[in-house]
Amino acid sequence: MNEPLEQFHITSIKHRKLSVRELWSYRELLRRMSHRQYRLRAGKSFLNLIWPFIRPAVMTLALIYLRQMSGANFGVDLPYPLYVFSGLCFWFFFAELTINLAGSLSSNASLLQKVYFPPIVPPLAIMISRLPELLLILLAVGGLQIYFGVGLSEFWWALIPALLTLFALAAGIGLLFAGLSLVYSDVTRILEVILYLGLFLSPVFFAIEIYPETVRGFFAMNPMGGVLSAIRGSLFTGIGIDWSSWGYALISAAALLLAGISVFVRAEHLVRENG
Amino acid sequence: MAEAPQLPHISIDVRKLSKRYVLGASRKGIGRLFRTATGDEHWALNNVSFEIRSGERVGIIGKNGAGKSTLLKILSRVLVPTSGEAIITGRATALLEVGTGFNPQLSGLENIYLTAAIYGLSKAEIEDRVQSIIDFSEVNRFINAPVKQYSSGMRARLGFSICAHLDPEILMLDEVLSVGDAAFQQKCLTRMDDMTSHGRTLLFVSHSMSAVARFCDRCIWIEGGEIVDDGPAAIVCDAYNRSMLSLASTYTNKAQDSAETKSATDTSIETSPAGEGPKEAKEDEEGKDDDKVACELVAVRVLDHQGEVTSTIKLDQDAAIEIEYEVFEIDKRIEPALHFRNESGDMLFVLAFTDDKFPQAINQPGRYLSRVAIPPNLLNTGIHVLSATLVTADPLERHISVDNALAFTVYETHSDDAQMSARGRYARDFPGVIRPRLEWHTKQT
Repeated sequence: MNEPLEQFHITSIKHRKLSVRELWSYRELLRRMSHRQYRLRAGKSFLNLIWPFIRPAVMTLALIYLRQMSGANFGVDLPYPLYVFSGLCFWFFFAELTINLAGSLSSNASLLQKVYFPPIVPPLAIMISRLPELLLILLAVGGLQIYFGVGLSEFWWALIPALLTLFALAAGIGLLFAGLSLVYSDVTRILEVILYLGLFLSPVFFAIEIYPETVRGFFAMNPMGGVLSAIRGSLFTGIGIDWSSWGYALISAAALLLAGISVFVRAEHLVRENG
Repeated sequence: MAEAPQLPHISIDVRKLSKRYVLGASRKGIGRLFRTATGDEHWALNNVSFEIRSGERVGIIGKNGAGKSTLLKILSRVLVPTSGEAIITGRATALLEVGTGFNPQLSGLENIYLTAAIYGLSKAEIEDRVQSIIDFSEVNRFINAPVKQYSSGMRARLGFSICAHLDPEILMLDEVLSVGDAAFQQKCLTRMDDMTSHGRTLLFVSHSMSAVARFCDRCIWIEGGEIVDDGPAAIVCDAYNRSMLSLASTYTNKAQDSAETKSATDTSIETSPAGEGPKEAKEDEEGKDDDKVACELVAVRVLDHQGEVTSTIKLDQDAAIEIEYEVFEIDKRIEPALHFRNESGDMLFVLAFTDDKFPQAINQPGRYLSRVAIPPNLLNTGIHVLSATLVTADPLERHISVDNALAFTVYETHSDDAQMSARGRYARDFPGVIRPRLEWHTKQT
């Protein structure tokens, strides 16, 4: 009967801290929103998740043909189809997740202006909703790996940390652009261009080693290089992991995540204010 | 501890809350995120403080842009105050708009789950309530259809129904009753009534004075971001209505007051500058002596059951109207008359002078004070506007006529014994220009 009532203190502190306890009390909302996001992407059937594979598969076939016709050396030790298919799958997964996260503030603006809930729930829900798709990618890549007879890497334990780095990087960039998109109208377009260029600046189609020494340093600035190296290295045996570029990716992801959250909470304040 | 055990705890404690908006912010780009905006400042709330105890039902009234919604948004944590603080004790739910968070693609049922989750309910809590939400909303047949196929009324019903079943300790509502048809509004009011009579705290923003007066014990009137008045709902609503219509609660002829010792013919007519204020007109018939004034109105007042001057009378209590006037001429047979109108200007009735002690009306010069009793259970609730005249009945000659001389509010409180008023057991809005309680006689035949 005399349960202590929950008490909430409203103060003029602009930027609310992200509270894990509060997030826990909103777990049902997180579950619902994740489910909704998943349904938006997959529709009624899990099979609809095949569609994201069409683009990498077509591009893989085109590149295999191109490589055979031209006899170009892409500097890849792995069977080329496995290299390029895994690269494309994880790249598109990253790019679409980032674009999705960058829209998470504006698409929830009207809701944020009407009712309070932890603003981090929608971006978290987007990330959670992508997990089945990630599993499907791993299954497809694993199937191809078995087909080509490539063994499981001795660094298999690095897979989860490598995928977490990918999520952290996507979240950092996504939240940053979610905030920026409120004050600069064209910023989402710019992000799309960056991600499109990033496809060619990352080791997706070919290894960075084919570039001359002078430009390689420039390519090394792209944190996705380290992430893709870590993911491939933890899946496929014999190629190893470029630890230093993964380390660089981790540091950039952490820095972008901090910047992203800081911009995101301020932008969330701006959204509610303009209601 | 010398703490008073009877006093419920404070549910909402607002301390010097202020909210500033900057209009036409000068900051551009990233500066809008990291620096304080500059530009024209507008204080939507300015140093507002109040306390609401558990179980209190408080209405918040004020014009559009007065700061009501800003206050509610701060208390519901949607907005952050510029300065000051508030402490909310107990789970609070704010309904700022009916149908918040509805996803048109999802079915009604899925939307129930989603909306309840947005308001922070757990899965088990939602499952406990889902059937009563569906029943209350009256959309049973369509609960599995996507909400985009719903009519606006169905959406509103479902939206209110969800919020009505969130069972918070503190419920904050903003104009939610402006949607839906009359029957559903009534149902909402009844549900709110149920909820609040179980000791829940209610904060209710509304333009409907009758809803505030009926459902709230207390009312806070906000104007320009500041509290103008805070007190019993009936009294604050009355003051607010009066200020909106610029109506006085008593009528006093200022000229008459200041000219007491001067010649009677010196009295000039005071007319209020406000368009709807008291209007005085003197109509002298042709052929009469224009310079001579037969009589003068001094004051009109409303008295409560204890004989005190008031502006609000309770539906089931005695009240009286007092009219004070001065007669200058012999044999003019002057008599007062009162016209009762309601807020919409409908004439309710006219009271002619029927005092047995003056069968020939007033035919001697002097100052007179006439009082007429208003029995309980005659007038309905709401604003009543009184016009006062001084006439000679036959041949009809209207000497003084003051339109809208004063206004008073008739109110009933929620806690009233319904049997004592004409509403009987009806809990609903009780229509009618008057509300007499007449005697019934029933026998089995």
